Amino acid sequence: MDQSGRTPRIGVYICHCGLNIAATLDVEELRRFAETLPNVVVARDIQFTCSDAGQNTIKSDVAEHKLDAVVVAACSPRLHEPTFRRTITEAGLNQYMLEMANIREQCSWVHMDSPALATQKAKDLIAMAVAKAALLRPLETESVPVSRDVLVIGGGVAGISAALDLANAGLRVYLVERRPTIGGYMALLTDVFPTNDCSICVLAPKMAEVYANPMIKLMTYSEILAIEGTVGHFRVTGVTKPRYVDPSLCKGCINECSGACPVEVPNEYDFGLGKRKAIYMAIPQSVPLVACIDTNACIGCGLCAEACPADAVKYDQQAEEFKLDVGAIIVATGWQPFDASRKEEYGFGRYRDVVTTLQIERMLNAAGPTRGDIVRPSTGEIAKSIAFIQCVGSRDQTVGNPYCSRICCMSSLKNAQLIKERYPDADVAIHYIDIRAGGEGYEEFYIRAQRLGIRFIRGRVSSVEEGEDGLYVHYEDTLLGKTLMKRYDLVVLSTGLEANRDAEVVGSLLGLSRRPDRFFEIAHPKMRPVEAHIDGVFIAGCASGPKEIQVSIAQGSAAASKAMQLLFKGEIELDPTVAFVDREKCIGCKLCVDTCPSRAISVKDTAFVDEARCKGCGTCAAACPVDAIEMRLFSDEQILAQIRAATAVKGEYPFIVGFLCNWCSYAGADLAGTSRIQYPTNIRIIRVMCAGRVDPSFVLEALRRGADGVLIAGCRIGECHYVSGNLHALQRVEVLKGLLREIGIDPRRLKIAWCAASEGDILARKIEEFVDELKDLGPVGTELVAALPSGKD
Amino acid sequence: MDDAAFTDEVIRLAGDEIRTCIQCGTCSSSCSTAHLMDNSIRRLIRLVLEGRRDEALSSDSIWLCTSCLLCTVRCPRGIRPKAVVSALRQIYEREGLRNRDEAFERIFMDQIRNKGRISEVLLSAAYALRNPDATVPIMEMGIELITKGKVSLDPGTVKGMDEVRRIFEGLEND
Amino acid sequence: MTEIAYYPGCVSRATGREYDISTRSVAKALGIELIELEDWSCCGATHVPSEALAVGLAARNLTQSTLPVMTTCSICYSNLRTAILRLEDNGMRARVNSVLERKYAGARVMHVVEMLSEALKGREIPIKLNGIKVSPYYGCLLTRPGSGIDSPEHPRILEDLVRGLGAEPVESPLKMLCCGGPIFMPREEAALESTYHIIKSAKRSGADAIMAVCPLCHLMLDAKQGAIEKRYGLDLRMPVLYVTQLVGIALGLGPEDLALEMNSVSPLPLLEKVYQSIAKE
Repeated sequence: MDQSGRTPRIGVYICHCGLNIAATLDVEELRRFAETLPNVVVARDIQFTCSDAGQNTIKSDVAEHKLDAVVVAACSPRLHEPTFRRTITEAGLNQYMLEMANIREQCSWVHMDSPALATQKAKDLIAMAVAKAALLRPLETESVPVSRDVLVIGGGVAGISAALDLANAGLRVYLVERRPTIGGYMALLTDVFPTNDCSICVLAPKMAEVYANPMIKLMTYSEILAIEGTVGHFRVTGVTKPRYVDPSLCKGCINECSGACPVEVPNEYDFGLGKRKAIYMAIPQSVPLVACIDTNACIGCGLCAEACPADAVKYDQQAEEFKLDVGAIIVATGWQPFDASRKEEYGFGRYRDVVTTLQIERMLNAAGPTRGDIVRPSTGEIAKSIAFIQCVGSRDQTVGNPYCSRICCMSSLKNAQLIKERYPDADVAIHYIDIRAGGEGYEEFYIRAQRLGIRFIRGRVSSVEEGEDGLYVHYEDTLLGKTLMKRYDLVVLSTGLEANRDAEVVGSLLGLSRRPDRFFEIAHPKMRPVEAHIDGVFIAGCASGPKEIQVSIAQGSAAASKAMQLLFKGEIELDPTVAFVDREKCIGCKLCVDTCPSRAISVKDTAFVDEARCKGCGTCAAACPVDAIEMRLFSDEQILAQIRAATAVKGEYPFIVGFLCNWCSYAGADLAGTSRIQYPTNIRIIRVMCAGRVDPSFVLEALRRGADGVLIAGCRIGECHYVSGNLHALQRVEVLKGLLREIGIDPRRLKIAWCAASEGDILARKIEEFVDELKDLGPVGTELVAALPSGKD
Repeated sequence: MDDAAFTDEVIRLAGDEIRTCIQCGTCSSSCSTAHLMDNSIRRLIRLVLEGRRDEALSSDSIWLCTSCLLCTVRCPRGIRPKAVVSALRQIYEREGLRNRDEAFERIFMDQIRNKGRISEVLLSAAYALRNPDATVPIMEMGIELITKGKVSLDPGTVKGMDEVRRIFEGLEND
Repeated sequence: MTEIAYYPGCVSRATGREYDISTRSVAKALGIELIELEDWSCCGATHVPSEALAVGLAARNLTQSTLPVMTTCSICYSNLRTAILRLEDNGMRARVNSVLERKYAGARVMHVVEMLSEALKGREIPIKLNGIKVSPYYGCLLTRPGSGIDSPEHPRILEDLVRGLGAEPVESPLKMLCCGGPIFMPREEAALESTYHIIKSAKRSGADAIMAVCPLCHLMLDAKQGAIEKRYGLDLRMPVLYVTQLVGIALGLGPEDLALEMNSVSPLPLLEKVYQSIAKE
């Protein structure tokens, strides 16, 4: 009965699919069977239900028989559910009043040798679908207005690229950068590979464009403090730190004020090689071109204020808080260099002539501390022999970084070339494990370096030692098979890229997940390269792992385009198939909060589901100890009705009820069908969005009703569509097995399996194995009988 | 034992990180006796992975390892090359192969097996008996130590020899 | 009085007697009661071919006391530490416990260097070793495997200790090169070559003495020094003192308490230098 107390009227349509279904299943018998099911007012078999004629039949029946819901027994819902939803919408029904019975991929195609058993299974599948259809409710898709503004966090090249694309498309952008200037690491580099363009020459125009674009509000020297809300309306609080210089007055001449400043400190923009004053400009091309006072260094002498011709120095400047309302957020927080002093065997920090990639970049830079000369810091003399040591802090488990930093080979190839061009007589060697030059023009770039006479020595350097006359590098030339030691004037450690520790705050404010390498995780490692797990949040550039400049730029643009797609219409449609809370039942235990992978649930007295965030996996509903969380689709009562319908007849032994997640294992079962992989007919599959949806009560109900076994299948570990739903399923299964053991049921009757969408064969084999195992166990309850004293004869 | 079984056994004894070796040479370049070796420790791992059993077992390098662990500390893949050497020594002995190094290792272990502790005098004597060419330096050493009062026949006795024997029986062939 | 379990190791009865004697004297002077493990056995040194057996032999010693176990030998120390690491694996722990008398349930191990560094903190040194240049020789296993008392690449604990005694630590590039001890019997030539370089390097850096922290290193550097001199036709005469002997001198203990007469290369010239510099003050 539906809410009005009226008995729902259901139409059932059984598809022949030519001979795809009809060759194995007795379609006529299925139709006759369907007619006998409760609430069914019409049942038909149709040659091709998806054809215009088939769809028209359904439409006219809806009108003629006043149908409330429609069951189509045909192919997989993953194929034609959208089609039939459209059909019934056109007939005037709500699109969610449709249920499909998968009698092709999961029946006729996989049981071709057992038509009778397959037909019995198809009957069960139809009965299950009808039982669920009787409990379907119309669901309304809601549209909500959104803010069309975008926050870009991080003003490196990825953030700049995203901001410009968005602004040029007409969206308002807030670009927030922690440092006093935008430009990131790219602004500090000398030339860049594989073209050896001058880095700042190609970047500076973009930085200026950001400054000039009226659609971009640039907020440098600023940090994000809080982020609330969800996609469409993120409410962001941040602060702009005082730089003690009025940006509207400062002319950027810098020589006057910093010339007067008596304090010198190591310049972090030269990575300690050069010095700067307490009042400084990060780089000559800083955007905005405004000086900044470093309060840690400033002694408050007042000389800069006196020297400033524009009267721009303001010691009483205060931090300013700002609040934004944005529809989407792009995280472009970048990376940090590996701390080379952690590789103590290389002596960085102890031996002055051991430097890092970023230091050599600054040395090579004409605007850098040595004005482009490659010198030995210990003597100031030009270095005549230079060794690059690759993989410092990359591909190294001793420092917890097993990954390749991807750009270091190319940047050393580039720096070695620049040195060799400037000093043709210099002895330049690159000590490497593998040269990774995969990219357009990269291998050619490698060849160029070889032709220039740069020596390539295959073998990781084991240690660097300082002698009286220079640095001694120990290594095995693994191609010669000789352990050797060689003297150099200068050693450059090709330091890797690490996840930016300063971005951790933003990451936790947004609830971004991290990979084991500590970089932010993207929604799918291949298919969704710039999306975060959180709706409306995108990740670009090195925040999600080491990348070259060109890839970071492309990702900035990609993230911008994703944000545009989301916000362009000014409104977004909310998926109605979400969770909701019965506040009467909720006890506020917060178990759901920790369970939800989308961080959609909050608790104030009782739980509340943010429907804009919820992705409908149902893991919370399964976790709720008092059943206070319910799903609008795939509800408890619908699934329980399917279980009862499946176990009503129990037409074969052993009898298995299976719960398969929509994204991987259900798709895998479909693939087994399209690949015609045959497996036993003993399983009745119930589709759920995620393995995490499977409530313990489902398993117990199935066993209580006589199922001999229950199979739960989800995505492979690490591949869950909802990040961690399968892990929750696994935990729950462990607990359930203990419970089963306690009540005397063999825990082996519950099986959990992982299966990718590409692994139809694996799923088929798992089902086969399970059938065999259950045969050994005997029918459900055997163990209970055996445990009784009287059962032992 | 065929080649693949040899590889598998070394991996079982010394850890499956061995399979992830990238032949970077950090181990051999850190090795204090590398210059004396016929196959560097890096090559030794390569021989193991390629199942080149005879070459690996006949390599003098297995006996030149001083167990200093510098390679283990530095290996970027978390391989323990010393464990590879130990595994090869173990297989060498089990296969019935013999040389003076193996003899020393065996005498050493037999002393622990039988007495629970090492007596350096007995160790030296037992070794010299089997390797007469080692007698002269051992005698020289002995004289040096006797004059300093640092030679003792008795290292003290271990009461719990049952336990020691159990440890050997239970774990030796693990 | 602090109580610490003491695992002397096999060589304490023979080639390393002066280490054992000086350790007991110094501990006493520092108010530490050393309680020798009741029925200790050999840890297997570097010669155990099976990892599980090595862990088992080490664990037998670790289960003999609930106190922290102190050892003076770097090989024993490294083995005991490795065993503790391996025993964190439940499978290994179960296997080893199945053959042990007393079950292993965690242990703490320390090297005598650690004990001394701790005990000397903030303590008045009666005889400052001013003017003495000491080359601290780490050898291999004091710091290996890593995550032990100090960095396995650039440790400073011995320099700090030497400085604390008033002496000047000199930097020898080979302070962590292996002495070759574990293979010296079958491979004397290879082993002596390493030792030779170590002594020469210490000499070149201007050291008056080498400080050793392991009885096998000491055997190679001191007892074998004559053989090295003969082989290479050199006069080295480099005193090699155990860390406990050096600390003992600074604490004012007598030569017999520290068994200084047992060292092959006499440390007496060094002592004279110490007393001379005190007399000057």
